Amino acid sequence: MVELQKITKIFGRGETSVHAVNNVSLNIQPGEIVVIMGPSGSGKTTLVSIAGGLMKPTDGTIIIDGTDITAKNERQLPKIRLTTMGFIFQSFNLLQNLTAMENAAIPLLLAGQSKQTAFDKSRALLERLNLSHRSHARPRELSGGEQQRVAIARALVNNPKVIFADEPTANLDRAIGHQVMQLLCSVGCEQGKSVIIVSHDERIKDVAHRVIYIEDGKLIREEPGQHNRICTMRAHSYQLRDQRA
Amino acid sequence: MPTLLIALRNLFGERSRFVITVTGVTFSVVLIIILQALYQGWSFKTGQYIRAQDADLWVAQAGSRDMFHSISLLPASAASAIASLDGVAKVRPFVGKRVGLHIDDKDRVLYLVRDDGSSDRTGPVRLEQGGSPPRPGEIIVDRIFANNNGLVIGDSLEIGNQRFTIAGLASGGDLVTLSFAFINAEDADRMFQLPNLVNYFLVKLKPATDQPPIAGSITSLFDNATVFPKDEFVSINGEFIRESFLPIIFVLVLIGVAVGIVVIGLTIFTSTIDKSREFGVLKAIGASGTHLNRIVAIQSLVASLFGYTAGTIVAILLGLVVGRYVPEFVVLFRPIDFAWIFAVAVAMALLAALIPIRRIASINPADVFKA
Repeated sequence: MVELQKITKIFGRGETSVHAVNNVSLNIQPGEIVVIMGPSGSGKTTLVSIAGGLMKPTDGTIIIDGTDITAKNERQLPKIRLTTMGFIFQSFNLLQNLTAMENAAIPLLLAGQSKQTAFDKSRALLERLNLSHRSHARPRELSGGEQQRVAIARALVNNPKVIFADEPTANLDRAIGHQVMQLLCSVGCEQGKSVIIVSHDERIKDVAHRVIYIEDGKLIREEPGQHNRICTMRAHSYQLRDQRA
Repeated sequence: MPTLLIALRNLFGERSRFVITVTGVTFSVVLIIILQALYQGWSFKTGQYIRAQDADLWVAQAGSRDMFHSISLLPASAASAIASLDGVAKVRPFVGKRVGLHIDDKDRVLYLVRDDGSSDRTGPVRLEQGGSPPRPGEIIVDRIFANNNGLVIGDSLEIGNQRFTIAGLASGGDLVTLSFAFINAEDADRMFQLPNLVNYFLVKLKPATDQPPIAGSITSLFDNATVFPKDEFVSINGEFIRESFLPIIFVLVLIGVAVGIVVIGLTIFTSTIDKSREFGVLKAIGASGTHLNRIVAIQSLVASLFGYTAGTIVAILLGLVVGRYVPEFVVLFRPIDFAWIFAVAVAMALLAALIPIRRIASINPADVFKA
């Protein structure tokens, strides 16, 4: 479970200070998919950065899987991120000199698992994401959708409790974006992971259990998502059909 | 080991940058190896003539140091007293003098040695061409001296109003700054004007004879004598090379090391800047500072080791090729020098890695959320 308690983040001091996040509290259950929406500069990315332990809040507490990560220092946080969190970025952010399989295996290798184990798990995950035929390709040889699927594999390979996704469909066309949404939906439903998605994309509400609106750093509104209406993933494998095939 | 995987992929994934880094390190290593090899080569050459003489002890006048910057005069009659000591196999006199001469209006220096032509003569280390021992009016010069001055057998040299004809070319007697030459005993006695005096006695001991007791006996025979074991005399005569060149070589080696550090540091630094986002991603997904620092250190070390290997090969080839055309380019490669230069290359890499490591520490992982 992810628990944000009265999170505040202030940038700058005195008259020039900006409340990027202002007293936001939020609970996200295992298996729940929450979409955070809001205009540019509303503070949603800052909120996700804080929730993911990438940025220290000025005030407030973050509890992830029972651990208060705001009490942890800079040396302890990387290990927590490595073992309990997965990150998916708008621009994929794969390591350009590594193959798809190596990119997906990086979190396991960083966690100290053997090359054999890491590559076996990475290979299996890529196979489930219909990317086994591209496992030796470098990012520049992959399409946007393929790169995002590799990024998803990288986010899942360590079996994290929480997935943070920042605009995961922004750089993808409609069909591939839909695939990615289905994939995130199945990650939450099938694997019971908490999924926090930051997006401008209205379509992404379709996978959300809850949609939270944020403006000027404040949580202004919350509404139910369309998840229960469209989700067909429950009890299904999240292996996707390659819609381009 | 993800750090090794990422470091090697980063390094070899950018071939141009890798080539620039390795080339820079190669130049730096070549500079360091060649300077050290030249220093060792010159040091070795300085002692080569003394080392080649069949003597365990060199007896000199008390207070005298090396052959080239101090005077040593001993009575020639002392030879028989030294020879009579128990444990002494053979005593030979050594008579020589440093002289200046002009060749094509250029000043040159020779160390003229009296060569009496006997079986125990203090003649050239090796005769390469011509005849030996020299007859009256003849001189044997080192072939490097001859090459440098365009001299051949049959040419004449004027030394102290006396004209000598080159009768032979020798090797093993060139000291870079001066050169040994050998003249007949009659000519030497007339030129040096040292009746009944010698410069040194070269003492050969019988097998299994301890040097210190004999050295003590010789100094007790003559208050005015000092005795050097051969190795010590070689070392003393190399001191001027050490004193003259070592500070310069030290500065040049430091410059070489600085060049290496700057080249590796800058290229790895620019690579790190280019890959700031990837380092940020690694930080975000949970790579520790140690992981990231290790990536940079491995990149730096691998580039340095490639540069070291290439630099070693180039330096050895340079030593072989250049030495043929430039006789003064005397290099001596010693395994211990390759070992410490290897250590320097590793230190260079680690120091160079500090620059990009500082950059990595400043990368904010939250920035990876920016598109």
